[in-house]
Amino acid sequence: MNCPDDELLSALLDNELDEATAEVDRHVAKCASCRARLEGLRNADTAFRGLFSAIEPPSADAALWRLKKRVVRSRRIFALAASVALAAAGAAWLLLHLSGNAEEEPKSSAQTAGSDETQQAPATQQPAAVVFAVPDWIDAAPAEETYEEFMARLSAPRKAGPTMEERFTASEQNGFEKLAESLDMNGSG
Amino acid sequence: MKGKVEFEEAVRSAYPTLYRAAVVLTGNAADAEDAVQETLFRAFKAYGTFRGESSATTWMYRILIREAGRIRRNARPTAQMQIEAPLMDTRNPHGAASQSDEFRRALAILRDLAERQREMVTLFYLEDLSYREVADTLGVSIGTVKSALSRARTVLRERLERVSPQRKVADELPR
Repeated sequence: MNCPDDELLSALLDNELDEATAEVDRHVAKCASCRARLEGLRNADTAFRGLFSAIEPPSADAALWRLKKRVVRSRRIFALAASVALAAAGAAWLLLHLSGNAEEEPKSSAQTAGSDETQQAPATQQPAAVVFAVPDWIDAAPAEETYEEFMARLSAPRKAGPTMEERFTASEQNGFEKLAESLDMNGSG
Repeated sequence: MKGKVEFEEAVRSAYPTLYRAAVVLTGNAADAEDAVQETLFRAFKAYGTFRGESSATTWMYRILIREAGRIRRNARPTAQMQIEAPLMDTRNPHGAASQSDEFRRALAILRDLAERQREMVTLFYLEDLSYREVADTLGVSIGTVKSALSRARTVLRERLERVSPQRKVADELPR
């Protein structure tokens, strides 16, 4: 065979040649220049592996702690937004109810549309399935917890908790607040 | 089954790979930490949709690629690809001073690759995947992966031979 190109030699290095492997192997065994090229590719491969292993990652603890702070903060914002939406929906309902009683006339199309949207909103937000239970290290997290407290809590032995199915069932039974939390955890990121 | 893997354990397992990849994909430690942090937050929110068809690390790597790309596009060009010395672990036998120049050359090669090629090479080396697995993870063909790896190695081989001519066994090599 003719001298294989670098792509074939590179694949040979990774054991990614199938039927061609034996033929390329035989050629390289008797061709000094191809052996040299293969050796050069091997050196490059070693350098790449060395590069990646030489990058020293910091501890995951600090990243988990920052993640916890952010999740707690986002849940607070979501709860606030949900409260405002609920209050607005209640006010709108009250307004429509009172105006309906006072005038006993058909609602205008704009009012009807607004009312429908308000009433349908919770249904359209229903998740197809809630499958991810909030980890204990976030669920029980006080917002002002320090890094040291967080790490102490993480390393403490954990007590067995409910399964995720049980948690979702509980969230259904416990009303809007739990459901809102579940919705928050399943945002599409 | 979805959701059974503890998220914290998945993060601890994936974190070294994600961080190393982020350093290579963004080019500096500060952007790498931002990219990983954003990745973890998005992974946390979407963990319920993780079906376990790949490893959690590979799944998070896909998220990281989007975040690193966004950060790189927003970064000033002068801030790109300047890996600080403290990032290199000198306790690691690969991190000895004599090899640091070699690593920088390898990094420079990765910097010069097209973004997609850099993602393929990074995933291949960090997760030790087959060409097929890299291709499936990134939605490209096996040939594209093979070509990206070959190109990266060929260019690095030439640069290493240029600075250390003794590495070059034959001067006139058929291509």
